[in-house]
Amino acid sequence: MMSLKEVDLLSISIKQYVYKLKAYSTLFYGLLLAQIITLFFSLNGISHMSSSNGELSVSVNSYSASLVIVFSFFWILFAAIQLTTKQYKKIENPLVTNRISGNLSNIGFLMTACVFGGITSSLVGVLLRIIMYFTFDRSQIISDEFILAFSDLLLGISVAILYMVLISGMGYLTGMLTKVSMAFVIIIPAVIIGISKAYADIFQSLIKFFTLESSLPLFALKVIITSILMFGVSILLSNRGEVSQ
Amino acid sequence: MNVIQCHDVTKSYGQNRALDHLSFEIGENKITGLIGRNGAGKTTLLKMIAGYIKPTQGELQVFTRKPFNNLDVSAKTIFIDDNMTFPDSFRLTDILSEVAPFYAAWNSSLADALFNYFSFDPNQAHSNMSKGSKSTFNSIIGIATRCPLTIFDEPTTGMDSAVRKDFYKALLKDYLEHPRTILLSSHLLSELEEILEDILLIDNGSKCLHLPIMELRELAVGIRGNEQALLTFVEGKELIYKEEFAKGSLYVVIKKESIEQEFKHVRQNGLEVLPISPDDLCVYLTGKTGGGIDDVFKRS
Amino acid sequence: MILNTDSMKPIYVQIAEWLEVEILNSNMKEDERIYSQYQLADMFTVNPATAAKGLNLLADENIVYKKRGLGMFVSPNAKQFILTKRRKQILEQMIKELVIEANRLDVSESELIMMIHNFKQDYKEE
Repeated sequence: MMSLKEVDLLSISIKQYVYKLKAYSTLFYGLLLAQIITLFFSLNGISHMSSSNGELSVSVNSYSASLVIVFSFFWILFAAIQLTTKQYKKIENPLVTNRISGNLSNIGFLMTACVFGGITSSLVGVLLRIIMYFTFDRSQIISDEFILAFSDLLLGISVAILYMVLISGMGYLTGMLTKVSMAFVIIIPAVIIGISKAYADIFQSLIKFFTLESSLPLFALKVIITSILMFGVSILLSNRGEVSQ
Repeated sequence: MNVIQCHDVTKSYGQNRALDHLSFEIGENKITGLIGRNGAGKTTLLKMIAGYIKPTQGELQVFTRKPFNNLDVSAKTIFIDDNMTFPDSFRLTDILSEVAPFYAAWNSSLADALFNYFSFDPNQAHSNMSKGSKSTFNSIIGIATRCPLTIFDEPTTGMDSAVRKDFYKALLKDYLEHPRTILLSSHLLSELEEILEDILLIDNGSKCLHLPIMELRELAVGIRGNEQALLTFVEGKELIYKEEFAKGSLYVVIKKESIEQEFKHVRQNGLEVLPISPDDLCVYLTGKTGGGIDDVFKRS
Repeated sequence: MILNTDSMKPIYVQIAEWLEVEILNSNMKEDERIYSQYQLADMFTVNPATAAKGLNLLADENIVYKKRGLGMFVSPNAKQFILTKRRKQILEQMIKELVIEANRLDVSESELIMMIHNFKQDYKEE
C-alpha cells in the first residue's frame, strides 16, 4: 500500500475547485438576488433633473445599471477576502490539500465568480433597458446607445470581468496580509488614504493606468499582469510557514 | 517499513513545550493507541503527523517525507477529529459524495452502509449535529477513506457506549480486510485496548512507553498487604505507584521483572497479588507524584 | 463473541482456551483447519496480533501444527492432550489454593488430608 501513485497538484487543485464551487454556490445566488434588488432601485432612476420656464417643463430621469456593477465589485472584494479567512480555510482540512492547491483552487473559484459577476451585472443592464423599453413610451427615451450593439455588450462584459479580477486580486492579497499580521487591517487603509492624500498625483496616475486605457487587449494585459503579481505574492505569503490552527 | 519516523521532535508554543524531544517509530499496518492524559500532547502530535503543523525542532517523517504542507502525504493520510468542518451548503450525503473523489481508496458502498446503519438523516446539516452524531459521522469518513495512514483523535467523544463498540468493531473489521496503519488517541485505554497492537503512552510531551499492548499487560502487578512485610519485600526496588490502602496496609504497583525471583514467596509473606489493568497502569505511569486523589482527602 | 475483559487471564489465553474447548467438544476434528488469526480477530473483536498469540500458544504445545502457506491444523491426539493437560493444570491450581488457604486458617497438613479423605467418603455414600 506504500506505493500509491503520487498525486499531482493540478488534478487535486481542480478537485478542490469543483468542491469549492459546490460549497459556495450560495454566494452566487446571493449575488443574483442582490443584483435584482439593485435593479429595482435603479428603476427609479439614479438621478433626476427637472426644469421649467413656466410654459414648458422638462423632466429628465437618468437610468443606469452602474449601481449593479459597483455592487458586484464590492461583492467580489468581500468574497476574495473571505476565502483567506481561517473559517473558510478549515473546509480544506478533510480534503487532500497543501497550501498551493488551496490557493490555486481559491483563485480558480474567484475567476469563476468574476466571470459570473461580470456577465450577470452586464446582463442586468440589458434587463434594465428591456424593462424601460416596455414601460416607457419610446419617444421619451433619449439615448443613442439605448439599443446596445452585441459587440458593445461583449466589451462591457469583458471590462467588468477584468475589473473584478483586479479587485479580487486586491481583496485576496489584503486577506493574506491580514493573516500575516492583523496590523495590516489598519495599515492597508491608512496607506491607501495616505497615498491618495499625500501623493495624489501618483495615486491618480495609478488609477489612470487602468481607467484611461482605451485598448481592450492592453487593458486586459495590464489587469492580468497585476493580478498575477497580487495572487503570486499571496501564494508566497501563505506558503511561508505555519498558520495557527 | 516504518510509516512514521519521529526523531527527537519538539514543538513549542512560546515558553510552553507541547512535545518534548519525542522519538518513536510506527510500523506499517499496525493499530497503535496514543494514550495520555489531557494536555499530554496527543492532539499536537497527531496534527503534526497529519501535516497541519510543523515541528519546532527534530525530524518527523511520514511515508519517508516531511508531512507539513505535503500533497503526497495528505493524499495518503486522513485525520479525523471533532473539529472537522464541512460547507454549510452540503447535506450529510453530499459530504460523503464530495469528499470521495479526493481519496483513491474511498469505498462508497461501505460509507453508505455505515451511514444507513447509524440511521443518519441524509438532509441534515453537519454543523447542526450533536457531538456524538458528529463524531460518528466523521468516523464513517475515517473508515471509508481507507487511507494508508488513518488517524483518529479522540474519535468516540460524545458517542454512547453502544455506538463506541460498533465503531471499534467496524474499524477492526474493515482493517482486517484492508490492512492500513491506524493511530487512535484516547485518554480511555480500556475502551479500545482489545483492537490495539501497540500502545504509545505520552506524558507532558515525552514518550512514556511504546510497546505491544500484550507486553503492557504483563508489565506490572499490584501487591497488597501488611505495610511492614510489603516494604521489606519491595525494598530497593522501583515502585510505579504506592498507596496506603488502610491503616498499616499498603498497596504498591511494581514491574514484574524486578520481582521475578522473589515472586514465588509473595503469598508466603501474606501478601496478595492483584492483576492491574493496562488502563490503571497508564494512569499510574503518568501520575504526578505517588499517591493520588485519595491523598487530597486524607485526614491528617 | 463476548470476552471477559476483567479476567486476570490475558485475552490471547482466553482465545486459546476457547479453541481448546472447541477441540474437546469435537467441533474441530483432527487434521481439520483451525480458524485463522484474522477470523479469530473478527470473532473476538481483537487485534489480529493478539489472536495470533493465542494460536501460537496452541502451536507451542503442539495442539495445532502449521502447514506452510495453508494455515494451522488440529494435531492428531490434540483432544487427548488437552484433557490430560487440563486435568493436571486445574487440579494443581486448586490444590495450590487449598494449601495456601489451609495455612492461613492454621489447618495442619494431616488435618487437611483428613478433610479430603472424609469428603471423598461422604461423596461416595451420596
